Amino acid sequence: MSNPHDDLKQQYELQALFDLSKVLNSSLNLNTILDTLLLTPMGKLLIGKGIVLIAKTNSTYMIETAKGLSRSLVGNIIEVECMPSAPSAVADLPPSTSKAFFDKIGIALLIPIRHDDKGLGLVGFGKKGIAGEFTDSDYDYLHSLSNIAATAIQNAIIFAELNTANRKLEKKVQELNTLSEIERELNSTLSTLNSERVVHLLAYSLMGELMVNRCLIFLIEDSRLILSLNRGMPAEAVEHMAESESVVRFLMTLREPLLKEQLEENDLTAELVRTGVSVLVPMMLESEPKGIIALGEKITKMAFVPDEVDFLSMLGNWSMISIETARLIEQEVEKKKLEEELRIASEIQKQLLPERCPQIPGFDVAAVNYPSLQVGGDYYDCIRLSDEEYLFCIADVSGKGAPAALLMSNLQASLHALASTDMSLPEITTKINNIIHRNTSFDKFITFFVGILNVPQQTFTSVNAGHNPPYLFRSDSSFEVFETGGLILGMMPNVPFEVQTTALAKGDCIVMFTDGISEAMNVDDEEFEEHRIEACLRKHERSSAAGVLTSVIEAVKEFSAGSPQADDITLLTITVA
Amino acid sequence: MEGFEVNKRDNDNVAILNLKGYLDAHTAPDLESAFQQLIDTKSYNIVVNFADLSYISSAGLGVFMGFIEDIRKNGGDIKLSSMKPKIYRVFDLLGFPTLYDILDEEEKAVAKFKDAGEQS
Repeated sequence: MSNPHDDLKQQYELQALFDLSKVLNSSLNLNTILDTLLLTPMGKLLIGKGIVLIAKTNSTYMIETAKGLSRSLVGNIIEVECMPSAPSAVADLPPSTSKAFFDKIGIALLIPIRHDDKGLGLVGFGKKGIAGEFTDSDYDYLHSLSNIAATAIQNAIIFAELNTANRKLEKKVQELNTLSEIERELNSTLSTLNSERVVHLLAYSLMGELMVNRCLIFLIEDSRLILSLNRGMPAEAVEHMAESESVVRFLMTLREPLLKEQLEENDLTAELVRTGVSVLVPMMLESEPKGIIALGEKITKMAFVPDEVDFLSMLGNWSMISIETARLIEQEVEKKKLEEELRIASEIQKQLLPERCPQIPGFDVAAVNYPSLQVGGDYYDCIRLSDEEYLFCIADVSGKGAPAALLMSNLQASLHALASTDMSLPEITTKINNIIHRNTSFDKFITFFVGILNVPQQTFTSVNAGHNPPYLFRSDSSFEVFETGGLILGMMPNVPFEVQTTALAKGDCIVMFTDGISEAMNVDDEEFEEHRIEACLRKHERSSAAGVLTSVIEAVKEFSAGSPQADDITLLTITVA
Repeated sequence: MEGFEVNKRDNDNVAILNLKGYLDAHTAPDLESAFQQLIDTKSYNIVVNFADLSYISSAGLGVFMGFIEDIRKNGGDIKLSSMKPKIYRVFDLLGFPTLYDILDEEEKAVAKFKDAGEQS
């Protein structure tokens, strides 16, 4: 005959278990479930201590929660050698380290948590406070409780794993988004792709992705290490770092990522750690290091994990493709710009030179100008001043390309303007010198020779401002040079120039040239030099200006065969019939 | 593609940055210069309102990392408010909530500065 009181109690306990089961199964939060699993019996049976361990592997368990015990126990992993298959008193267990551990912290009773025959964990309780030893019905109650909780725990563990997996997945998706952004940059229109921008984007992306606020990005260009970006690192220390040859060599040859612990292993890299570097990642392109990312600590002070280093490497390598492409495009654009500049310069130069030489009764004039590839600054001119007077000029402007062409156009404009006045040749030269001096920097100058041919008087009046002295070859092959004049144009203002007037006779030949002729090189790196011009003029018949011109040019060509033309070549000849 | 706008307004001593549109690598420099302007004018109490922001990439988050230390060193802070769940998810994923105050309303973020001001 059952005791109605016991029946009622049993019914009450069943109801309590049922309610508990509802609470447990309505939650997917492991902590809530475990707290309920511990606190319910602790309250009911007046137990002072409780602990739950969840299986990590077959024999290792992690302390998930603890009540009435030090909080520092939570998170510890302990080895449980023999897992009890039913509720057991710790005192009855065979001696082991885990038994010793439970004894030490005052856990008297262990109940396995099992689900589908799989051990999920272990719940342990301390001694009953005042009610004495655990009774059989306590055992039954606790065992049922653990069985009821098992399903909820299993669900919560799966849910947590799913959550973790989900989060990992989302993190990967985020990483992929970041990578695709770098890739988008690579595919952006060529006009906006720029290496500085990619470096900037790389820095932002990894700072955001890894929660870092100190970052250095070095690029290796022409075997030099170039600091491309510094965000948050002490500038002085970085400068110091970049000055150390051994550090630079180390950084340029790094092929594998290095973490702080590895960096601390040797003295050289330990210095980097003191500067604030926590991880070094080389940026590789076609298996060659092309740059280095150096990151400071994470703001959270947490260590970098291998996954993150992998991501960094990938991000760095992808960025490197963009950086390299941008760099090549920039170089190409630069080259195009230079080519265009040269094209314009050569166009200007061509327009400044006279289209044809004047027809002068009793004289024969010929001129030629071969611009070099780089477009130098040779200039010559023939200006008809009157029926009786003609002005000839030859000049070499320093420098090449557009700057030389502009200076030359300056010279040409001044000369044409001044030639039409009644100023004397020395006055004109002084004036031009002052104009050039005013309009150029100290390293720009012009060698300049100007002469006026007076037809009826058969005289040649000239000023030489530092130009290679032109020749006057007489019919008997004796020669003189036109040296009288003064300083190169543009060196200093208000310099005086002297003038010379030379009488001409039938059979005379005037030869003006630039250093493109006298300094033409042969394959042995020898220069053509004046003596070869003289020899050539002596050797050849000098009746026509064009004939003289051709013989000199042919001699130069023959001499320098096999060597590229380094400078403009200009030659102007006048013969007296 | 959707653009990005950042507008500044003041709420007492707090500078509010309203972000709108698409914050990614291409638009990050706009936000960077907005922060730089605030630092240049010594406005260190900053609330960033994300209500109209529809997308943020890691590079966008990177901008916040780049300025936070400077601003905190000067006694200020960047507080974030009014994020759409999708935006918050990215911040959460990368661990930002441990470092930044993220509030659901701009007013609450502004109030945090005022509370801090009264305490000191």
